[in-house]
Amino acid sequence: MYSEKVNQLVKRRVTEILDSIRHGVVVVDGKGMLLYANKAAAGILQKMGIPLADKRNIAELGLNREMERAVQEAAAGASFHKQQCQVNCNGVSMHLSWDAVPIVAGGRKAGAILLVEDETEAVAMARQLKEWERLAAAGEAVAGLAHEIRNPMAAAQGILQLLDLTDDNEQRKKLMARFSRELDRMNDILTNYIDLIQPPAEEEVELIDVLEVTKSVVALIEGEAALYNIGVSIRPVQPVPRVLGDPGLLKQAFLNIVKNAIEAMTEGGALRISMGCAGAQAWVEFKDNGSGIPPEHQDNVFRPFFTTKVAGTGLGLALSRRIVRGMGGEIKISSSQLGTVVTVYLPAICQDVWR
Amino acid sequence: MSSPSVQVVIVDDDSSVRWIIEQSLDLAGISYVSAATGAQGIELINLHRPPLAIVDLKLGAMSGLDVLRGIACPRQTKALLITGYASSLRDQLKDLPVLAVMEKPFDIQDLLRVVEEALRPSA
Repeated sequence: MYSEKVNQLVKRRVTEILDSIRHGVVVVDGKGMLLYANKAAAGILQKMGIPLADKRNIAELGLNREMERAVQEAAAGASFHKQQCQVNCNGVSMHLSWDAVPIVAGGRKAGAILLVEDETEAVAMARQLKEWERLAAAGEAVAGLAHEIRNPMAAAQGILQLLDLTDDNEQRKKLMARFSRELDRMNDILTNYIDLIQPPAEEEVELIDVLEVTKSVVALIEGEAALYNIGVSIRPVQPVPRVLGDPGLLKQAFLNIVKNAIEAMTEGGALRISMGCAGAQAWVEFKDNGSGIPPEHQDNVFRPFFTTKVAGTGLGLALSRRIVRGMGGEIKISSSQLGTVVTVYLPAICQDVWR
Repeated sequence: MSSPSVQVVIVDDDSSVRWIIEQSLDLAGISYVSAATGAQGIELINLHRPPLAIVDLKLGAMSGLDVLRGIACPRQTKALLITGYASSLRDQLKDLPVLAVMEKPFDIQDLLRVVEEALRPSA
């Protein structure tokens, strides 16, 4: 009599506890017969259009087939953790996360527990957040584009008005030439922008000798570097890395980095380029002793249209990063008043012996 | 210190926009000097103390608003802001000596109207 009272009390306590949690708990015996379902489980099932009251076996619930099979297998000893599924019932789509685990009592299999969590709202919110982030990024890019392209537009509109005001043929010719230049500039801005957001139509992937690409980039800028009294050196550490990708694109990525370095050292300096392989990773380091990037700008250097230069487009590093990421790599920047180090990491095809 | 011969200081990092504003002011016979950076702009404004500065809002490292905040004598120099994208700017203009905001591309006749208005002795 007394022990029965205690049992009832314990049972009531356990029921209260289980009814207080937001996870749905469904308990079945070895044959799939329903032994218990807490309030949350009833709520979730009700949302799915399944009235619990008259059901006796898990098979009658008409659950998602995968979930139903998992409960049966759990009763036989298998465990399923952190499963996800989407169910569509009565025109309502629900995202559920669930576990199915065996109950072992006295060393014997005694059924299974199905734990269900309704994550519909969390999934919807995560989707909404992602969409907002996407829109915010697009908005920022478009605002940058608007800023850029309205400069040549302002000039072009002004030129048309000036043309209206002058009869001098020489002057008109000059204005027309200028007008054409402004159109070219608008086109350049748009081309750069499209390059940034779109992968190239036909990317030619081949095995690239990173040292050769670097040498060809240095050859392009040597004249400018000499003009500013900047020494450029390349130091390859064996084995010299080879990577997979489009050599033209990698050249463009490196060129933008090198140009930035040179523009940071207009008072003269040294650009030291080194490269090597560390396991499956190739690295190329561009180290200048220029003016460095002020701390307040360091977070922005990869942002499209961010520039502090008088004639910069703000697309160089953004484009470099897009190319490097497209090849499965990453760019890291560290900068101080003593200069800037840009390191490009790429998946490497390394050779131990490399001539 | 101030030079009465300079009526307008142009501050824009874009050479094309600077050029078209210079052409417009030439047409109207208005004297000016131009700056390609915000820092240079502040220097020229504080040197010449012109009645008007035409300032681009986006100037690379510095914004046009930074330039306006750097004006030593805001009572003397008013600003015409030009921008390619004027969203939510109004709140930031509080307490700054801004006469007008023009969006690019602008009509040079409109630009000259604002400039001449600003340069009129009673203004």
